[in-house]
Amino acid sequence: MLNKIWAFMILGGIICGVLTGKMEEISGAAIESAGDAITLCITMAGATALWTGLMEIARKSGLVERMTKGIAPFLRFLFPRIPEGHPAMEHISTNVIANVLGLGWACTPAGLKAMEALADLERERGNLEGIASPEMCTFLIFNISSLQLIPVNMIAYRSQYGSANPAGIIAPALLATLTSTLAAIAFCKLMDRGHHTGSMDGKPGSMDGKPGTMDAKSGSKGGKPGNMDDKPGSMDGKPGSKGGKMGIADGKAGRESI
Amino acid sequence: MTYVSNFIIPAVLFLVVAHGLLAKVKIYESFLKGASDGLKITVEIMPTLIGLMVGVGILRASGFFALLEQALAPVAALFGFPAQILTLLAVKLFSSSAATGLVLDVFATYGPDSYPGLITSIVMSCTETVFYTMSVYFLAAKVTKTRYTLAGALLSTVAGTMMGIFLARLA
Repeated sequence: MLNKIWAFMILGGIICGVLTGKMEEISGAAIESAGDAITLCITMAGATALWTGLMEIARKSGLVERMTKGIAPFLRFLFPRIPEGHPAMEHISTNVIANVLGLGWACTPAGLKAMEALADLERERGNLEGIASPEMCTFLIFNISSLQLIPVNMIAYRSQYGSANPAGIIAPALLATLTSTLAAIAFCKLMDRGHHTGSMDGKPGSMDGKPGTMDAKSGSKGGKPGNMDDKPGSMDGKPGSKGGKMGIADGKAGRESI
Repeated sequence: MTYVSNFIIPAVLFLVVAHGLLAKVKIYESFLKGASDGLKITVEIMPTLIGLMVGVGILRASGFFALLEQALAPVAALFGFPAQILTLLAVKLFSSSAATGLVLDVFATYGPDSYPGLITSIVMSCTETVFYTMSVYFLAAKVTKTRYTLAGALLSTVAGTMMGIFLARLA
């Protein structure tokens, strides 16, 4: 994805510059922006190192683990149908806490493992592969709703650009995050309720054969005619764009801890 | 609200250090190790940031943003915020580092404490890269039918964004 975006920025910018006759400005901007990026990294390095240092203490002293366990009741509420002790739950809580604490590099691996474990769970349930289970939908929507407690990077950017109070956005950002997360939870609970009845009775028979008829999922009860086929095509997103996520800008946000 | 904001960083610092001390962890050594990992991360993202900031810099210098903003101005006026924010919101759905480039552009143009700067700060802190996250995560589960995920993710993003704009207006 970044490949295309970047190509667009460079090529589109230059073509546009030719039309508007701004080649000189573009030359200057290219060189200057590269320098600005380094200046920014230097400012950011301090805040990032402070945070990662602090989080290392939190990890070693067992605080992170404690928080991970602490959110268990909440996660059980979100994912009532994941069996007790299933590995999916562990990966989900690690991912959520990493998100809350802004540990960008820790959330993606745990999140991917959580998705794999949820896929296993679907297999155990005998459901069709390749279709998102309600747990997967809930996990992703919840994850995307952003969970970060302190937007460390944003604070660093603000201080770099001379904000009078770089940290002043923490509380409003937290409130906004809380709003998006609550909306996410409400939505998932609503969709899940519709789904519940449908998938329960698909389970027993679906072990083998005739996947076509079984597909437990699709709300045989007529639960949700409309939403089933939400964007079948939307998934082709070339995850290859590694750099995309890195640590930089994962504006994730948090709540229910601490 | 500012009071709460100012309180959070010291509170987290205090809590983590005190907890580490009580758990008899070598806190300072742990801190140093973590901090050095953090520095490595910053170095690793440097190339990304250079690439994207150059891209955004070229787009701005070429007059592309000015044209785009002109075109989007009527829509943005409906919501009562600068057109730049619209672009930013759209880009954030796909790539958060590309969005970072635009965030910095907003800060450079208006300042981080201006109304557009505040919207940017808050909204970028409460949203995620919807399409990127979905594609990576669903790929891991080999899922192609994503059902209501996109609808839910967009709904929550819109909810967070509206709240963010509302709060920026208050501040």
